[in-house]
Amino acid sequence: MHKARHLNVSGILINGAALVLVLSYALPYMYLLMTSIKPAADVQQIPPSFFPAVLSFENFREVLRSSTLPKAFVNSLTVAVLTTALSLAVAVPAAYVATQYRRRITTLFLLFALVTRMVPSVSLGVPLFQLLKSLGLLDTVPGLVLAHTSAAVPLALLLMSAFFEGMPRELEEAARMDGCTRFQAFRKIVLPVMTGGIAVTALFTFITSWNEFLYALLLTSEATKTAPIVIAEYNSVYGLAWGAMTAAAVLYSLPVIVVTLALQKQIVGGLTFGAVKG
Amino acid sequence: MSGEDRFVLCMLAPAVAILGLLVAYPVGLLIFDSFFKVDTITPNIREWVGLQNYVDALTSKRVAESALRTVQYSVFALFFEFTFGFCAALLFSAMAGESRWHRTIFALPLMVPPIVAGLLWRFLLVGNIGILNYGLVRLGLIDDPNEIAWLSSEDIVIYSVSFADIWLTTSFVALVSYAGLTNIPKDLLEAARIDGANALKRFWHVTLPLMRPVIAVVVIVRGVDAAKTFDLIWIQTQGGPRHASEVFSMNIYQRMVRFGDLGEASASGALFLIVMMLLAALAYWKIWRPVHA
Amino acid sequence: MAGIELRNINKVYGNRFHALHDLNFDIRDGEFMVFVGPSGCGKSTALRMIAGLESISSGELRIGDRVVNHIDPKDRDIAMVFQSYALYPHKTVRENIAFPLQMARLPTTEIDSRVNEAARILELTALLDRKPALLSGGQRQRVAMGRAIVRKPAAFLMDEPLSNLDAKLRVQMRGEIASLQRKLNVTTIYVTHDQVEAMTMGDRVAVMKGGVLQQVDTPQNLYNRPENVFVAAFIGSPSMNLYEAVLNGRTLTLGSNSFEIPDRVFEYRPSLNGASNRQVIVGFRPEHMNDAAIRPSSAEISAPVTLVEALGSESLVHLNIDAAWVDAGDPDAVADIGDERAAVARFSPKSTVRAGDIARIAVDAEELHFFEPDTRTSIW
Repeated sequence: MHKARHLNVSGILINGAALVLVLSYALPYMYLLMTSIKPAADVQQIPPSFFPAVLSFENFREVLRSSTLPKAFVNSLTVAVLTTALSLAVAVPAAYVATQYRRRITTLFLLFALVTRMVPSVSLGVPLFQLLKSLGLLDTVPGLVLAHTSAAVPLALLLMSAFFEGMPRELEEAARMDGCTRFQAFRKIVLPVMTGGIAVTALFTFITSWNEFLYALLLTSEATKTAPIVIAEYNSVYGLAWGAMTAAAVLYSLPVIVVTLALQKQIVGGLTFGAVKG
Repeated sequence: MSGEDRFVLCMLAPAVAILGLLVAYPVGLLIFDSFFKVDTITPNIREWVGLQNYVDALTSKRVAESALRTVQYSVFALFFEFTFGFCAALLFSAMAGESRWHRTIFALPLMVPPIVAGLLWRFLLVGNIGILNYGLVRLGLIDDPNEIAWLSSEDIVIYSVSFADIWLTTSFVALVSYAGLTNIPKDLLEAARIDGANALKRFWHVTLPLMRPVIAVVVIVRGVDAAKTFDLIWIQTQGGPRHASEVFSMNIYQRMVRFGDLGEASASGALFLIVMMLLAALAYWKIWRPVHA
Repeated sequence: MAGIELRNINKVYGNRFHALHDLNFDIRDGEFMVFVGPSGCGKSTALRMIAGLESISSGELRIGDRVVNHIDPKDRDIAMVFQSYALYPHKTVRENIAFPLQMARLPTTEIDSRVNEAARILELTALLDRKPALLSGGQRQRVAMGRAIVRKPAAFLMDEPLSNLDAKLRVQMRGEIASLQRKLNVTTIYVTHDQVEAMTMGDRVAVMKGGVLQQVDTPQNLYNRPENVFVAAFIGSPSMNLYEAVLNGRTLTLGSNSFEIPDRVFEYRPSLNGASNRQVIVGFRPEHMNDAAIRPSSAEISAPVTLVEALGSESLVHLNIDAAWVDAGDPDAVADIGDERAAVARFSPKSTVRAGDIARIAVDAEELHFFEPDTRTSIW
């Protein structure tokens, strides 16, 4: 009797604490959403209010009618899709042999990929700028795709390695006994079996490119500005256009949030995979 | 060469080529350039200066200050991310199966692009209209909403800009730690309980030692990321006021873009790279290895 | 269909680990051959070399009339059943079984009829459109079999195919696989660590240890005429009891016990004749020992009883024999209960001996085995 009540009290405490914690982390983004649907004039009112007094899509209309943001979204999307395709195309086969055909060279290769993750992007950004300049690829989509790929490939390699780690070697062997060459076994059996892992990895590489800021800042000027660059520029170009900025930020972040929430289970799995297995 | 070796090479080659072109070659170029005087506008004209770029970087007050700020920022952000994240993970695991929704909502900031997080926190902290100070007034913690100038006071700005980082990545720490906690075998904790260990002792003697590899990974990954931070701070303050929030990566960027000194930026970039590698290696050997050995 | 020949086959890994030493034997066309041995004995490696999944370091491997050392698995005309079954999780049962035929580019009608035929034989017809995840362990095992038989290959290779099933199903599938093999009459190599599977299924059994072939023979001969101490101990359960002993004329001295060896033994093993003070390793199986109080014999020993396991149909009596115990070298052998050095006797359940008694044991001396102490090979 006493024990049961004690448990109950601590249960309520734990639940209460968790609720407070979760709410306090959700509030800032809620505020962003609320601000974006205020009339532009209300955004900078003093004192600020959390909820909009009047509902208005004025801010969204403004950013969508502007000449820069829609084009920036197209750029971001193009770069992210191409980066994802290129990164997966090289990382998936490499991660496969690195985990299933362990030997000194593959171990070294994975170690190199891991080390690459530690390289500060600014250190890489300086010479990448030179490289793309000499190739004539500054401020072009292929140039930015290459830069983003340098960050996305190591990530895709590590994620895919973790997924392949969980795949039994026998699947490939069975396929080879059933008449496949190694390449056929990879294409006809391994890839279809791994679609789940590949999808999660694709999402992660997509987000890496979609969110990337520093390379875009360094390596683009006019033609291929991506969405985060344009949003950041609301600062200077429009003075402090908070209303437009919040609307642009919502348009930029909400799709990713919705997709990842929908795939939450797989994403969290992918995130914690390598870390927990150590 | 056997068929197997050929297959391995074929599968590996594209990734090796990409990483070679986009990582190894640039790193080589970075180190090469660091021994020259090079201008950003004309990167093909090089003048050998030996170690002069390194000497300049290591003796510059502004570089030293930005390095110190990077440490302040990283330690501050990491400490709070880890504390909040680990506590959240403990809370969630104490709730057993009932924490699914909590974890889903808690993971939200994880999906917010850094640039948006930076903007958002700037909006929350900015003078006059920053809602955070109004909230603090409401809670009775301060008297006047203009009492704390989060982003315009040189003394505190380097800590203020880390709020966005903490908000953004606490959930990463929490989710990884939670996964680690759920991986701890229940019977170990039960055995400790039967042996008479109270909750605190169980945490100290069972949970914490078993979480060591997870903690190591979190600290390494997050520590390296925090030290590399550029976008979050850039969007909030662009390094200001008066360089008071200029971290090391931003210093490199400024010297390359604003001052056009590619050689010196390369030297700093190379130093940054070396320090990060050493730190990661040290963390790996000191924290992670003992458990596996 | 074809026979398989192994000639001086060796496997040395990159780290210089010598996994297989000079493997030499033939598997006849249509024969059911079992590779058995403790873990790490090289039996799976040998199978995977025959499959083509491991390279052959030296020696010659023939399937039919072809040397296949450097031929890809897909071109060796063999099918394999894996321990984990390795069913393709994204394909249905039908697609799993059809896959090898599709790879062989057979016409669709031919594939359909062969898949249906295989499904009929294995009673999988009702399950053809399910994914492997929805099948029970036994059903998955049968799909793996189906994928192998549908190709009508020259040989089947099976790598511990029953070890993931529970004990009851294992006994059932043991019979099914053996009778299927007899029906199809396809050369089969079956790897297992379970000597009961080996004895019940194989036409012949190859016993391996530490990468070295110990003996290839019929199950009956392995039991009756083991070539060395290891085979003697490995075949049969509980294991043969092995002790150092001294033979003088016809008298065998085992610790403090002595008894006379009957003439028949000397007819089997003529080289034991005229022994004087000869050191031997003597082996006697638990089933050849009985309670002398129930069935008296001319060869009797006495020893203290340390433990009695009453199993109903029989009693396993653990004895502390005061002679030097011989380690047969089976790395998997685990101490059952109590001292692993104890001798075990299989007594009739009527026996009344109890732990702590000094039991009188009747030894069936005609069934004794003798081995050289230094080479550990059988004395014939």
